[in-house]
Parts: sequence; C-alpha cells; structure tokens
Amino acid sequence: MENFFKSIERQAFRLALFACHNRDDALDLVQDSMCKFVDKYSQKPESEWKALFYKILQNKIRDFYRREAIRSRWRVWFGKNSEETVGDALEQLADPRNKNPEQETEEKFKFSQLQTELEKLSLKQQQVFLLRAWEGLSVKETAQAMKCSEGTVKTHYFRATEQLKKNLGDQWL
Amino acid sequence: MNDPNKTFDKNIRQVLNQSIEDLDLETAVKVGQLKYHALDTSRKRSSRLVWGAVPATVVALLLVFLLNGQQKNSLQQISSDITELSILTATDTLDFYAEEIEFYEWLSEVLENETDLSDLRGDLSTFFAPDLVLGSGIKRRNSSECGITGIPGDFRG
Repeated sequence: MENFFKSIERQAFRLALFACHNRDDALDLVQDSMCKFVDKYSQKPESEWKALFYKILQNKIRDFYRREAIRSRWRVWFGKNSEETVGDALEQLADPRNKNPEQETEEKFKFSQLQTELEKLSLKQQQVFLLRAWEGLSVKETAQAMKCSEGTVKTHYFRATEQLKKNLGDQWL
Repeated sequence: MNDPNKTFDKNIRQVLNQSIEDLDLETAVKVGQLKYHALDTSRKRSSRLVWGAVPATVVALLLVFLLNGQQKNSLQQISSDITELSILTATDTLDFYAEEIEFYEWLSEVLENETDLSDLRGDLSTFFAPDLVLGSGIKRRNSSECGITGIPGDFRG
C-alpha cells in the first residue's frame, strides 16, 4: 500500500492542484482520498487500485467544488469580495535547484504554458485528459473514475486534445 | 516519421512529470507525509475497533451468563415449589411417595405415550382389578383430580 501511494502521490497532488488551484486544498484532497482508499478498498486486487484511487479523488474534487459553490454564494450574500488572489501556482511551486538556468527557464515556461491551457479547459475535460494522457488510465477506468460513460470520456479527451494542440502550437507536436 | 499525436502525448507527459519532480521541498515533504498519515489513521481506527470490541464482548458474555444462571435457578425453584405443593396438598400417605411413586410415574408415562394401549390396558386391568376395565364403561379420572400430576387416578388404589 505504501509503495502504491508512493507511486501516485505526486501525480495525485498535481491533479488535485490543477482542479482546485490551492496547495493546501490539494493536499487535503489527496489525504482524504488516501484515508478513504485505505478504509474501503485496500482489500481489492492491486491491479484495480489506481482506478479506484482516482475515482475517490475525483469524488473529493467534486465535493470540493460543491462546497466552494456554497461558500461563494455566502460570500455574495454578505457582499464580500470573492476575488481572492490565487497567486501564480508556478511561483509557489518553483524550487531553485542546481540546474542549467536556460533549461530551467524553458521547463518553467513549458509547464506554465501547459498549465494555462489546461486551466482553460472545463474541469471534466481537464481531468479526463490528465487521467488518460498522464496517468495512463484506460477509457473504461477513466469513465469509472469520472462517473460518466465511455463515450463521454472519448468525447472529452478528443476535445481537450484538439484544443491543447491548437493552443500550445506546433512546438509540442 | 513520428506520429504527431504520440509526440504530443509524450511532450505533455514529460512536462507534467518534470513538474512533479520540481516540487518545492516543503510541498514535497508534505505530499510524502500524506500516505503515512492515512495509513496511521487506518491502523489506529482498526485497533480502536478491536480494543473497543473486546470489553463490549466480555460485558455481553457476562450478562448472558448471569441472566442464564438466574433463569435456570428460578425455573428449578419453580418446579421444586410445584412438587412440594402437590405433595403437601395431596391426600395420599407419605408411604406412597416413599415407595410406590416411581412405579406409578413409569406407568403414567407409558399410558401417556399410548403405545399399544389396548394390550396394555388389558394386561393392567387383569393384574390390578379384574372388574375394572379401562376404556370400557368406566372413564379414567382426570389426573388433576387426584392432585398428582401425570398419575392417573385409576391406578392409585
């Protein structure tokens, strides 16, 4: 179990961060998912763990959005400014290491570009794309994780890929 | 020639993988701790369940034993009370209870079971009282009439 978590923890964190744009919220989402996974699914076959874990994480992300929607309604009700400075996630996450400055800058730039384009996608398209393209889940597994049909997964994935290709430019192809 | 779709996917994966490698130290440490927290929480919860279940089981077993013992004692007490009462209220002599009661009890059981009753009735009637034929004219008295449960009145002399 520990090794499984080791293999997916950072990807799960990044996925959650793309969804909620806040480091602490992303950490909470991943931790809650891990706790629930250990409680409910640790007896399941190991081959199913990845899909099941991402299913829980997607549920947590959905719950997070529901809570956020309620909170924002309250903010509007009390007339508070709902525009909070989210900050540049890249700046928050950047870690100066002993790298070639040019290479580092290029990596940062590419990630920043990708992040911007990923955030332009709808949440479903974004998560389907990340689960399929990055996590390597099958269409069926992605459909289970996202609680939608396989046809919907294919449509979301196709549209997300097309939009990213178009916006990121030829240098990514 | 490279498939543009594959190259695109590869580039995406590469950039994303690099982004998780480049997590700042604080975030990386926090992410790394999540799994230990999840595993610890689960272990604590399961041990709490086990240790919570042990005293509950012990208490439940004790209650069952106590209640069961009390019930047995009270049942035994009631049955012995009934026996004593029936002896006290009966009109028979004490010799009857001391010497002949076992025989009559056996006889009572046999008659209650009604196994091959016609043969038995014939034998008994000739043995005890030739002029008293059970089931033919003279009705057996109800056992409650004689005061002793299970002993037919016809065989009590």
